[in-house]
Amino acid sequence: MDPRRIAGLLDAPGCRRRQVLDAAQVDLGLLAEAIGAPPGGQSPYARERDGTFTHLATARLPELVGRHLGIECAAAAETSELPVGAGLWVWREPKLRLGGLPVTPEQIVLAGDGKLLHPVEIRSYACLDGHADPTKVAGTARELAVVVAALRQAAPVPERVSSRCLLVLPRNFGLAPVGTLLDVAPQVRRLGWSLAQLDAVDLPARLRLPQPSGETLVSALTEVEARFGDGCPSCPMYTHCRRDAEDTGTVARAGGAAANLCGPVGTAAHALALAHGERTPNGEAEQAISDELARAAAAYGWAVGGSGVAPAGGPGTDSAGRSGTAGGPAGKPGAR
Amino acid sequence: MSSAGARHEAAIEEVWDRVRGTDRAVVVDSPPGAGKSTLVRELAKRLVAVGEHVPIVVQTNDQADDLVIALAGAGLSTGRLHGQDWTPPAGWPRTRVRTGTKLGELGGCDVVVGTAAKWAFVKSDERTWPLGVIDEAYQMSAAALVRVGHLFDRLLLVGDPGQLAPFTVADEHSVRSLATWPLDTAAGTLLRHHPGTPVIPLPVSWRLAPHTAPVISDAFYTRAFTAGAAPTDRRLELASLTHPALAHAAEHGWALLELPAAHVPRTDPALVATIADLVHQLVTAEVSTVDPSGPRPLSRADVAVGVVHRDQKAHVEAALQRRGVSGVTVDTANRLQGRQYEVVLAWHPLSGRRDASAFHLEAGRLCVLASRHRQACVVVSRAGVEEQLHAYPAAEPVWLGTDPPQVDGWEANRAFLERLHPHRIAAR
Amino acid sequence: MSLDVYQRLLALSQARAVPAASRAHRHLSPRPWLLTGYHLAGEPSAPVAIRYGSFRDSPKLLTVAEPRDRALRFAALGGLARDLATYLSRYTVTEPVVRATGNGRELDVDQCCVDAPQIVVPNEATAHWVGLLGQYLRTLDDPVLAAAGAHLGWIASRRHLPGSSVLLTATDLLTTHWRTGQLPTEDGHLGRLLAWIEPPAGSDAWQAARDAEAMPPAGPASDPSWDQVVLRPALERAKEQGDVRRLKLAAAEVLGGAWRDTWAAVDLVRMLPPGEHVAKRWESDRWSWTRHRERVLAGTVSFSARLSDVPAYRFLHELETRTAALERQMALDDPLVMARYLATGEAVAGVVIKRDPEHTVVNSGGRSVLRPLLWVRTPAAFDRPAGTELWWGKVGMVVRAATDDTVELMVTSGAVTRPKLGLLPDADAEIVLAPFGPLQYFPDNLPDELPWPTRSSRPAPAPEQDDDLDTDLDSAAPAATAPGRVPEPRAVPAEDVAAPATAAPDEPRGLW
Repeated sequence: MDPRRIAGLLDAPGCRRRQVLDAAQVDLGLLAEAIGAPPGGQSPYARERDGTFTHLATARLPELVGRHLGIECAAAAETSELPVGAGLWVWREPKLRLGGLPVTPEQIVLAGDGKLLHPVEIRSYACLDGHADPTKVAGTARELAVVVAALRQAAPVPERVSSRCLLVLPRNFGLAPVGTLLDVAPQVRRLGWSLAQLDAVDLPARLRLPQPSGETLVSALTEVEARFGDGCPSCPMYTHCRRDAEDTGTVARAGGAAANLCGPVGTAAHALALAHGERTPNGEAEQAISDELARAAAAYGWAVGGSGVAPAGGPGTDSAGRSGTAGGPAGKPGAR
Repeated sequence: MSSAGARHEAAIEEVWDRVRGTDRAVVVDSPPGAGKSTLVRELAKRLVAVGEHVPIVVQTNDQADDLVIALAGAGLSTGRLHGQDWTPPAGWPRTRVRTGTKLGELGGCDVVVGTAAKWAFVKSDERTWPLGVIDEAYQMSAAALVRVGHLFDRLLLVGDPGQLAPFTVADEHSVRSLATWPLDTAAGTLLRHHPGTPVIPLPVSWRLAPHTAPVISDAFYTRAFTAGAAPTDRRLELASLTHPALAHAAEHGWALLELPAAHVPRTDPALVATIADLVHQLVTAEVSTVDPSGPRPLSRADVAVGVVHRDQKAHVEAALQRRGVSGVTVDTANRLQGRQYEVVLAWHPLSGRRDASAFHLEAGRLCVLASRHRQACVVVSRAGVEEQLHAYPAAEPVWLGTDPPQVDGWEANRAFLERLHPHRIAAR
Repeated sequence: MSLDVYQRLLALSQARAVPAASRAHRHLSPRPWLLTGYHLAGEPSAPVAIRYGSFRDSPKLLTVAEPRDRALRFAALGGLARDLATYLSRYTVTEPVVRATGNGRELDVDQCCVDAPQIVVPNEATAHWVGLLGQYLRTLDDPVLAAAGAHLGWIASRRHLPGSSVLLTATDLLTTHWRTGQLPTEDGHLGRLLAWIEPPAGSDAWQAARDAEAMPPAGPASDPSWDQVVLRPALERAKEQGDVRRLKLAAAEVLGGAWRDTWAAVDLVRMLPPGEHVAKRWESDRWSWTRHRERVLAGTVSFSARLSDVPAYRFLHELETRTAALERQMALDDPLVMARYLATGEAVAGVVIKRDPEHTVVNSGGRSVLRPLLWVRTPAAFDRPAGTELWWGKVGMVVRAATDDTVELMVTSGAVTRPKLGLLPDADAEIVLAPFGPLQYFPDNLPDELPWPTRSSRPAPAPEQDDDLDTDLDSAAPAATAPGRVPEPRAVPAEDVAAPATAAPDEPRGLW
């Protein structure tokens, strides 16, 4: 799997379905087709620019490595193993492992200062005035963490692989490469923890078949519990889980804040029944949620002038006046 | 003198040498209860003794008042520079202290103490000083330092690096996108711009006990420290108290009182009730706190409740009022910084949540809550915090050109919880 | 906030958005300039198509047959620059305004533009792109394009200031005023958002949102499959055969939806009566526009890439002040926003059942002072402790005690002298007590230059050599624009936030 796929383990470590999807190395193209999701991928124009920039930047690497890591070196040398010493290397199609998972990037560029090896990564999103999209940089940092961790697993002396990486981006509106040091130590730590948890993931038997059909994939994945939330739109299962959430009316469909407040109350209908006093709370947690939502319902009823959800209090509250003077008694008693 | 005492003294002398030396700035890293206030008072005394006038910048009015009381008690003639609305607290000294809203009203004082916000109104054409002292320099923002830095030719910054980072209501994304980060701490920004500045760590915490100091040091600090007290120096005697969490904490310094796992709103009424009951028991039972100075009854002023949000504070206070308990401090981590109590009940920031958030994971928040106590800390929480930590995605934005934080909030939370595991007690 | 969650749950269960505001909290120009665009994937400065203008039925459509070709791009952007200049030229009329200067004690007459331009774009990505476009234009060696770049730079810089209405995004307009039952991140998609607010007849929000997703993207973020299937053949045809018809059609298709949706968002918010503070906030935009024009005329307009030094701290102060002010003003203008504070229990709504205006206490100086008491009947218990501070307009009070249905309050400011007792609420009045009073304005107190502790004693490291390779595929020649002749690309008008403390500020003091 490419590092990006494994970095996905850090995207939603709380979702078992996503963990299984990554741990079982499910074919994402097949999955997208099976659930009717758009195929995704990269725009041809983005691909072209990527290629052009990578080519240009590779030629300038010795200069950038010298400037940012203090390593004097000539053009990158080819290597087929973890190099030692000082210099700059390109390792094409390395076969690495991380825990039990294969890690197979297209290439890894490494700069060595004699003691430490620093991964070098070329990306084509712009660095404008020293500033790059922090979400994209975070994504790159997670992938670099996978590379660092896999290299450490392969290295006789793991500490020799540094978590300080050199990230090379195009500067401003042009294609001139600019380098920035990026320390991915926190991401490496998090990855270690996630991988330890992954060992405990029990793969459904049907996902372990050599070449499951799209249908088998989806039904096997659906058996595993999902956790719908704010990060889901970037997940390969998004459109599927979303439909699921819509059918069941789960609170989480409305986002993490709603799920956090409603806790064990699973559906919006249930939560609203509590809010409107149409259902007796069961247990202290539900009571707390019920109190909180009832007060919100009362406030809403007050503000919209007793319409809709507020049965008592009656109309006539002047929601058009200034709030300093307007507004009637809340339509509905709130928390006791 | 104990070896801890010797190491502490050596650090103090090193600070003094540096202050009398030629470094433009000196930073003292002080873990919780490492004698920061004593250090500031001692240095002020020594500086006054050699004929210097000492301006001291603190961060809150409470800190300023506490410091003025301490300095006057040490025999220094002290000025309190204050704002319009300030009123002197109880126990305000009658002698050796002058107060005023303008520097001109404090003539003749050897030491002048004011908040950073107040110092910002002093003009540098009015007066400058050869040396300024900044207390709580990790609580102070770079923005506050910019407003007072021109008043001093040299600076001594003293602070606790485990505190909460300065806070802004502004949208962090906008600030970071458009400006070089102006929200660093005062100490952080000074060290970044003057990397040669000596940093002297105080090696000993006199507040935390031998069984609590290592937990805090390991989870929240990059420079290790140890406890100054001997294991037998202190204890909490519970004559008539039976709550197992309090009994456990009295013996081990810690208890993690866990209510059944549940996802609840952040004002969790059961947690409020549990904390209020614990406080009620503590202040109504016969409890004495013992240290080398002898035993004394635990007073209400010795007890604090640390919470995360202001609405939690309001609910706990209201619950205490209903139980007829007054005089116990209830406050957010933010406002408990720099304070010390015998017993602290801490509301775990992640208690009862479904998903952790960057706010609730901030290392400084948990660190402040868990390091205010001399005798015992009961962390009160819903079970299930591990699962939350496990489920937290590593999706924080990464800003080019900034270093990762020295202490990662997620990592610190995990380490702290691991260390508290043996002290878990299930709530009945 | 619990009200936010409650509204999302209501929306979710009704499959339709619910109102989150009953006032328009953004100024809406009678004649905004809308702009939607699509650009080449991965290229920060290569627009494929831009649709813009003030007339809903006759927008201008601009296409670039080879977006990576400098000359073609140059020609196309020239048209945009001229049209923008024409639009902006409508906002040059000024009127004399009396304002306080210096320490606020002297009055001065100053000229302020009676109105200011307003740009509306579909989404955040387009708003960001407006800034990039401005930044790019300012690097070009052409006075018209550079001038447009300066204007776009000013426009984009206002986006980050809470309460400014110079550059509006349709998604922000809608999420400020409505709540949906989908993920907050999904609210960033204009089509989905509109589907929630006004689903087509016979369709619920879920279906309508899915349909909206299937439409061509609102740009400028690209859609890989649309690029492959529609754009690529159209661009190739335009480039190879000089036939731009297919490209125009594709552009119209991709931008038409976003164009209609952006107008629809404006229409929806226009139906709400404006909040009381909106005009005051717009006045601050008008002052800023006035200053910007003065700088353009004087040839002193400049932008800094990222603010550093004192301007960075000044910017932070302005952001903080505006953030706090906007929150309060919206709550005071709009019961539906104030309801958020009622829902959290920070604010109290109720009826005054009893008053004791004559109540006095003895202060620390031993004098007896007037501290009127109020009793307010509340629909539910007020669960904050005694000592909690609340405000009714400018009248400040503290909670003395609370029972299940009554709060006892002591007035501590705003109405504690006999002449001001008339400012107390009447018995039987329905009132809302807010957790905040009138906003205090604090000067930023910043020095003219950074003090030594916050700046480096070492010289700044030399910037990396400025050898930007242009993105043109055709011209291998490095940058045709001579470095050094054009101002550095800058994102924020330096003077906007860097005005020396002694000069009249952009906005009258106390406005925020």
